[in-house]
Amino acid sequence: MFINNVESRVKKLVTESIDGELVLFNAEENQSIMLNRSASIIWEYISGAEASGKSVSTDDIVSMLCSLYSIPSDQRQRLYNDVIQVINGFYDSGLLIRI
Amino acid sequence: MHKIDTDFIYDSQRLIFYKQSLAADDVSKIETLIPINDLFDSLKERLEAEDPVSSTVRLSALTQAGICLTNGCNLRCTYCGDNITNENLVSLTLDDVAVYLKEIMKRWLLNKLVTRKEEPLEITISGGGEPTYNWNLFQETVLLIEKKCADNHIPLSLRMTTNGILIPYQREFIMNHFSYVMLSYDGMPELQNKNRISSEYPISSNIVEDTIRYFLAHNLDFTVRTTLWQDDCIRLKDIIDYMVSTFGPRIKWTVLPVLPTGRALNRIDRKSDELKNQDFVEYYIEALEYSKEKYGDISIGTPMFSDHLIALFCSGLSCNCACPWLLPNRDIITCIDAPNTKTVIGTINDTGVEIFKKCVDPLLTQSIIKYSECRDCIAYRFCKGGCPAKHLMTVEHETALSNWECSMIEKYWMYVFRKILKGEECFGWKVEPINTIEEISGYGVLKLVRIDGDNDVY
Repeated sequence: MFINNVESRVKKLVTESIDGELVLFNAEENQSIMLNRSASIIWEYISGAEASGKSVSTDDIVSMLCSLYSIPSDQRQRLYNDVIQVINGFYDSGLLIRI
Repeated sequence: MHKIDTDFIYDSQRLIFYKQSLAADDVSKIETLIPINDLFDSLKERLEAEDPVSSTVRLSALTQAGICLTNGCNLRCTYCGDNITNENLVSLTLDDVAVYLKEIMKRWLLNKLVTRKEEPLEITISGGGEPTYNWNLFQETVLLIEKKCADNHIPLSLRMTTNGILIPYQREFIMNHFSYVMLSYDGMPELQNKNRISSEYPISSNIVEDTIRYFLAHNLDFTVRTTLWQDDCIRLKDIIDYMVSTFGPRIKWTVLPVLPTGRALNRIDRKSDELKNQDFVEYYIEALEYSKEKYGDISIGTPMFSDHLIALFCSGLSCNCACPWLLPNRDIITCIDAPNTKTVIGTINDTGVEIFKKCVDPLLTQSIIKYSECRDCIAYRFCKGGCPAKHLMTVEHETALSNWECSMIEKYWMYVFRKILKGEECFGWKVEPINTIEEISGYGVLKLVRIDGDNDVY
């Protein structure tokens, strides 16, 4: 899959959730990560896109979140920056891998 | 090496006993052939690898957590370690509990993913003053925990401590929602009403005894905890008689002498000269023998003497936290016995739970000090220098009681060793000959073992 035109793949992890917040565990590397609600939604969106063979952009994710939370358009840019930060965090922590 | 009477030497590093009469060469052979328990020396490296001023917090997967709802209390016990008054009350809100609970449940899920087991999540509501002091908050907390765990299919075990000042519907609520309760009662009305007082409950014994009877009648798993002033240790046999005649032989009971901290200091300083005449070990052992003869096997314990080998005292590497506690001021700490000398590993802020990456760990500092001070003590393998929280609580108020407790523990183990070397079993311990090493099979070397076979080091 492509994320913002960068070919990437999602790390295969075991997951559980509490009230919509994900707990991810990578048994091979004994690594665990707990996501807050927003990061969990973004992660599930990206994972879902990969499973159905689609590409994802930051704009897609921002649009999805704006629709989900009825976020006014004047806050879109701030949200955009937050989503980029979350996606970078996924790469940094090895949840997303650049191919 | 420690002499046990005139016959035996106790090698605490190897947990063996051998005859004093053995030649030096034979002793060397024993020392070569029987290795030192790994955990004994590696502990030093583990302690030295940590930095108590900037410890790395390692709070990960867990199955246990604690909540201290309030430091408010309806009693003013003469020995209260926290010295609570109405002026310094702090309580959590239900929102605080909800935020913390979500964090705990996520970490429980992580444990499930890591271990592939579904152990119950054990949550204890304890500490501070009395957990039921603000009954509405207590009740709402219990119902919230149960609902959240049920919604997320998490098996739950609720535990609590209480002073037993409860009215009937409160007893019933606890009965219906908790799997284990530790209830404080000082053994007989005379002592309870002398020690555990308040303007509201000048005679607290009646209501607490009713609570005990209610829990017994409904088969709740609970233990009565008695705190004894040192000069009341002499009453232990009277207390046993009273407890058994009042509540029957099924009662589970544990006894602990007063600790030199908080409100207790007012009296301990004054009475410290008399401590040398107040020998808890002798009274405790005498009371156990008395109760066994008179009532058979009844359950009397004390947290003062460990019944297993300890690798490190429970909170010695406290930043490796297996059971975090949320305090009324929203600090998350590693040990509920150390609320005033705490190792703070996190907090609840406006965005939720924040677990720090690093923390100052005063409990670890104590363990490092005690490793040097205590490692040659006869009791070190079972005590590891004692509870670091307790040391910290008392360090600013050096009283005769600190040394008193230490000497009691040494005395207890000397008593156990003397008994088992006579071929008896004592408080779960015995000796077994080492016959498996041919070169020393005729030397009469004995190893220390648990009767129940549980020789693991905790």
